[in-house]
Formats: sequence, C-alpha cells, structure tokens
Amino acid sequence: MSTQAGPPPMVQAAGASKWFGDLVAVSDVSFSIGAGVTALLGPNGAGKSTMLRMMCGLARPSNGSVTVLGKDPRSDVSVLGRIGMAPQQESLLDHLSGREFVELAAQLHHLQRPGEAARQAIQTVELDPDDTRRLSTYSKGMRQRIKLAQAIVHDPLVIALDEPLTGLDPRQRREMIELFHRLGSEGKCVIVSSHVLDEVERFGSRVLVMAQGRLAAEGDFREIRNLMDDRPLRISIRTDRPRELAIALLDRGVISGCRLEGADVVVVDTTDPAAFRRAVAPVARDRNVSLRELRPLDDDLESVFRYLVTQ
Amino acid sequence: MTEAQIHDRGNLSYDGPRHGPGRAMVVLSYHTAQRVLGLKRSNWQKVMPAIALLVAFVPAIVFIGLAALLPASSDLDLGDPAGYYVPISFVLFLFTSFVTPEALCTDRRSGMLGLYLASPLNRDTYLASKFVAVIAVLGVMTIGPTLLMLIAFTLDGSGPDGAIDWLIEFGRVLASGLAMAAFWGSLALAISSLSPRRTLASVAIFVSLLVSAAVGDGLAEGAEVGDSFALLNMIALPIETVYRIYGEVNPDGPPIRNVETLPILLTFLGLIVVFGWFARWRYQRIEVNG
Repeated sequence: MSTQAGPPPMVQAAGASKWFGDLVAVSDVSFSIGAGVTALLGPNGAGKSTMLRMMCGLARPSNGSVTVLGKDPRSDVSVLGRIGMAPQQESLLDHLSGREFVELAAQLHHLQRPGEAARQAIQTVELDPDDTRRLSTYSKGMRQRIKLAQAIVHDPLVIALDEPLTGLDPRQRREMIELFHRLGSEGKCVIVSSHVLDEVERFGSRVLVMAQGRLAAEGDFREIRNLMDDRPLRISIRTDRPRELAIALLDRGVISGCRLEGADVVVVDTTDPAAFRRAVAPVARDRNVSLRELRPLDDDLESVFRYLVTQ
Repeated sequence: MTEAQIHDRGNLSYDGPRHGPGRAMVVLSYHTAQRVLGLKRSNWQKVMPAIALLVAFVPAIVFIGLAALLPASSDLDLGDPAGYYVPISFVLFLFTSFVTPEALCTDRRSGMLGLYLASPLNRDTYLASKFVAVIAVLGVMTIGPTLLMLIAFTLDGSGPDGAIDWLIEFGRVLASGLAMAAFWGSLALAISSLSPRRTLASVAIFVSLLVSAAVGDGLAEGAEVGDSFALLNMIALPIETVYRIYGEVNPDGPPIRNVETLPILLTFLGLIVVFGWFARWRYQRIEVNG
C-alpha cells in the first residue's frame, strides 16, 4: 500500500502528527491509499477520527502533511469539493427533513439541481426521498444513511466515513458495505473508520490499523488477521479442580503457562487458541473436571492493537 | 412465469451542472438567516425574533398609517429619525444577546461546522457568510423601520425637499442601519466564537454590554476622569454614531454626547474591525469535532 508504482495516491499522509496541548492524537503516520475501499481500524481514542478530519481539511497536522488528490485540503478549497464526509456526530440539523439536509449539502457543493441530486443520493442509501419527517425523528440507522447520502450527493472522489455502520442492523450493514464496494469499484477512494474488528473483515482487503495515535499495521486484512491470531491469549477458567486441569492442559501442550487464582480459578496462556478450544473440553471430561466458566481476558480490541503495536 | 425483474440501480451519481464558487456562501448565509429568525423551527424559537421585529416596526407602521390617513394639511409630528434608533437599540440589545449566538454556537455543538468546512467553504468564507446573515437579519430591524419612516415623511409632505435631499436622507438611513447592524453583528460573532454553548454566549454578550455601559458612564460621569471614557459604553456608542451620521448630538444621551465626532467614528469602526478580527482569530484556531 505504501510507496508503490502505479496511479498516484488519492490520499497520502507523510509523517502526519496531530497533538492537542499535551495529548498526542496522531503520531508520525505515513500511508498512501488509492481507489477502492480502505478500512481505518482502531479502538476508541486511537486517532482515527482525527486522521479523517485531517484528510477533510478540518484539522491541520501539527507536523508532517496530509494531501488529498495531491493537494492540501486545509488550504486548497478546490479539493474540498472532491471530498465527501460523514461525521460521527449525530445531532446535525435536527429541524430539517432528510431531503432538506441532503439538499443543503448539495447546495454547499454548488450543484445547480440540488433537489435532483438529493433525491438520487437518498435513493442510493435506500431511504425515501419524499419522507418529510424531521431528522430528529430518525432512527440511528436512518441517520447513518442520511449522513452517507449527504457525503455522496456531490459525487466526490474521496469519501471519508467515520464509524458509518454504528447503529445499523445486519441487513443494513451488508447493504451499506455493498454500497461502499460499488463506490470503490467506480474509482472512488472510500475510507471507512471502524472500531469493530469483525465489521472491517467485510470491507475488503485493505486495512490501516491505528493504535494509540500510531499506524500499527497496514496492508492486506487477512495477513493482519493472521498476525493477530498468532498473539498469545490469556484465558481465565473457573473449575472445581483448577490444579488438575492446568496440569492436564500443560501435558497436552496447548498452553504455555498457567497461574492459580483462588480455589477455583486458573489463568492460562496459549499461543494456539484454536487448539486450546478443541482440547479443553475433552481434557476436562477425561479428568472428570467440571468446567464452570471460560473467559478470555485479553480478547478485546485494545489488547489486539496493543499486540500489534509491539510487533 | 412472472414478469417481475430486479434491476441493479447501482450508485446514482449527480452529473448535472454546478454553480461557480461563492454559491456555498450564499446558501450558508440564507440558511443561517432562516435559523436566526426561527424559520422552520419550533414556535417557541420564533417568539423572540417575532417580538423583536414587532417592536422595531410597529411605531414606523403607525406613523405610515397616520401619514396616509390624516389630511396632508394636519400637523403630523413624525419625530426625529435618529431618535428612532434609541428604541431600536433596545431591541438589538436583546436580539443580539439572545438570538444571534444561534448563528455560530449551534454549528459547533451539532457538528455541522465540520460538514460546512468539509465543503468548499473555508473558515474565512464560513465566518463571512455568518456575518452577512447576521447583518441581513439585524439590517431588517435597523434599516426597515427608518426606511418606512422616510416613506412616511415623504407621503406626509414633510420629507426631504427635492431628489438630492431625499437621496442624502436615504443614504443616512442605509448608513445608519448598516453601521448599527455591523456593530451589533460583529460584537455577537466575536463573543459567540468563544463558546459552542449558546446560553453561555448569550449571557456573555448581555453582561459585557451592561458592564461596558456601567464602566464607560461611571468613569466619564461618576469618576469624572474624562468624557473619552464614555466611548467604552458599547450600548451608547452605536446610537451616538447614528446621531453623528445625521449631523446631530443625542440631546438626552449619556456622557458620550460630549465626545467629538471623530473619536466616536474611529472608536466605532475600530471596534467593528477588532470584533471581526477576534472572531477570525478564534475560528482559525478552533479544532473541529465532527
């Protein structure tokens, strides 16, 4: 993804950093992305939204640069007309109807037929363009889609979407992801931020992983996923005979370490979670040990990203 | 066999004509003016703008009615045009304090600022659009009634003599109205730029105006340290400026009436520039969340 031959990148960050007083939101991030869907993945507070804001010219990098279509979006207004943005925030203009809201976006982008453009964009996100209800009455899913509609109404080349799938049901998510791919296949650069790992898997193969303001990983999603699967996993097991179970699992070679906690808990480390999952129940049955609870201690996104950062 | 078919509609993208640059500013100004006036919003949010417009226009409308109904020979006293700005200033004081922060604060709170600045608007054109919107709304209150007054004078036959004098009077109406709208508008934008909270901005505008009046008049009249300190009174300053545009001095005004015209005009224009510069300085530094 970085510095490759071929068409020039549509979005490029070169050593981009952004800090707010003492808080470093983005630290020395460099990447290049072109047409297609790119997922910007990271836990809450990783710097994804700040990165998107820099791409849309809303924030100036404290250091380094972010260019879109070869231009600085903060100083070159012409490039802003080629960017569509759907922010994470919900309130927006609640007194307007969805159609009026999208029309306003169309007018701001100088479209001469904003009504027609708004209707098309609203239909594209599968909402009713004749719905006259105010945005304040919209469900979360409808708000997400109307935000996407205003982001694409002027047919931008670069589309930055901040957590666009939050609040959507599975069917809506699937349709939204299909729409992202359609836009990507038309030569647009679609950047979608998300903190949900499984969600990103369906976006496509290109991923930028941010953690603690840094670019933790970039490239093909499957390779990154494999890298994540290789990390040691810590699991808490509540059982009536923790010592016997720990010895048996060590004998089976599916855990690399263990620690007893209290009378009925053993915490184990495994580097092969799949093998562990296959072995734990048969081992318990063979030793007549009853399993009461298995709880991964570091399966949350934070720990996944922490692991990536240390790689 | 069914004849139904499913067509892949694909992504419907706009490929029609586009306006030139500047359109976004017009749209934002129009939209902001609507919002400040409470249009397309709840009835409660229309109350204050409606009262302000009513208070500003009713006396002028009454004058016009009298001028139209009474015989031309009747001795109709249409009063003094500059004096009309005293009650208008009261309306502007309340309107600027409690309504105009809507023009800026809400965008920051709702996240719309991010969407606006991700469009072909930059921070300067965004602020300029807001300024134009606020001036347009305030201008309705500052120019509208006095323009009606001028019409009333003319209808009554007691207006300016001849086309030249009429145009001079018309110019004074425009200059006075625009000056007042620009002063109150720039003041409101400068203070509103300090906070995304509308209530906080309202209180700040209200308090700063009252404090400026108390300090200015207190120093000039109470402490007797010099009439120039009366220039600090930001409520009296625009009224007195209008009197000077009409070539008069507010006879019943606060101590600022004793100050020469040039310092009044320079302070007045200087403050508009300072308020505008401050709002711009703030907006160049605001981090957009959205």
